[in-house]
Amino acid sequence: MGVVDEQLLNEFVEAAAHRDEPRLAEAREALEMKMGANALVDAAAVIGCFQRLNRMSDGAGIELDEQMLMMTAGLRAELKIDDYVSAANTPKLTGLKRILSVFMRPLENFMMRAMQKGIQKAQAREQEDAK
Amino acid sequence: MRGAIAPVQLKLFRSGELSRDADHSNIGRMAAFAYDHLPYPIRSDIPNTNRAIWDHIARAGCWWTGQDRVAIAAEVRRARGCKLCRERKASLAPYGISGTHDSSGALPPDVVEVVHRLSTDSGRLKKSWYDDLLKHDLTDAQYVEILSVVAVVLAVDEFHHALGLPMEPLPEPIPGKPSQYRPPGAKPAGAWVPMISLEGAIDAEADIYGGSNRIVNVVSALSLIPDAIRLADSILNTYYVFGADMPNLSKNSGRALQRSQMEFIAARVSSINDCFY
Repeated sequence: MGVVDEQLLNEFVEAAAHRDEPRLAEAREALEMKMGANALVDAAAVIGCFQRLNRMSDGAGIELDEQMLMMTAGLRAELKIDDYVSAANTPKLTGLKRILSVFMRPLENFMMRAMQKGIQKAQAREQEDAK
Repeated sequence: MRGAIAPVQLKLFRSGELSRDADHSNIGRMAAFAYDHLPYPIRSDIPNTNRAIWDHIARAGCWWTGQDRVAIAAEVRRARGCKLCRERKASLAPYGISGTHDSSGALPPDVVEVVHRLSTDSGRLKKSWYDDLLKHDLTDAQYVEILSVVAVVLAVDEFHHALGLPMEPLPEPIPGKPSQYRPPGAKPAGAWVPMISLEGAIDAEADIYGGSNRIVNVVSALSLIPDAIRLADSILNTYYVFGADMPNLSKNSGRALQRSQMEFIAARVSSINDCFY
């Protein structure tokens, strides 16, 4: 499942994050033309929100919550998120919890698929409502 | 002592529209974030939240005066052009590069170091760096308050930047003394800094988590400064999705983006910032 208009959104985020002003101006225009001005404003707001949340997380050195840690072991390994410097703030799972997280990997895939289906249904409903 | 007069107030005084005797300290703040003439339709909750953020920065907090907090905000903006920060960001070993930050000189060097690192390279912060800061004059609560100001300034500035809007002038500091309030429920657990757990949110802090029966660490990250938590809900509701919609990934709080698109943006920003959480 892809995200609708993923490339446009990615270009917008990257240009903003890397402060490439000409690229950002083009990305803004392309996003607005395809998705509308309201979507552009909402996208900018999410960027602002997560620039803030990232500083809060890494600045406070918070640990990843245990439930999330156990449920995302496979995903983190696949995306190499555990290689981030800030991963050191979260103690590794040990003992029974580590064993449980290994058994939870198939469940992880099942949950991802279930989430994707739920999101696809919601997107299909939105598109129907828009017609 | 009244703070410096904002340009808009000065203009109104000169024209005779305002008396100098009355307290118009909110006038400069009310004129901020006037999005009326922009090419994009900005939802009304955005300027309202931004004004609340600016007001929050301008006032004395727990450990820093309004003047200090506005100076911290100014330093966030200065960090973008800082040569030392650029060198560190480009380096594989940022802690091996020493030097002096390009700063205004209004804040102590330790505070400038915190503001600049948080602003430009937060993904590579280490506990040893934080521990070293606390060996000098900075306390954990002072650090968290700096972090809270840096974080909200970045939210507003990055929103503006993404839309190609000019940076909003920073607010005029509001006179007042820091409260020196340290919430008794803040304990070390789950982070470098003490945080208030759900069970610890009692008495004066009973309201900070809005009656939730479950919180995650990012929600309590700044709880050593309770007012920062109180502001957080309105920021999330405005810049992201409403709290009630957050757990359900098919809900988008009526935004013009699908929730999956919002999560994609969130993930990309976090990935670029090397944010593990």
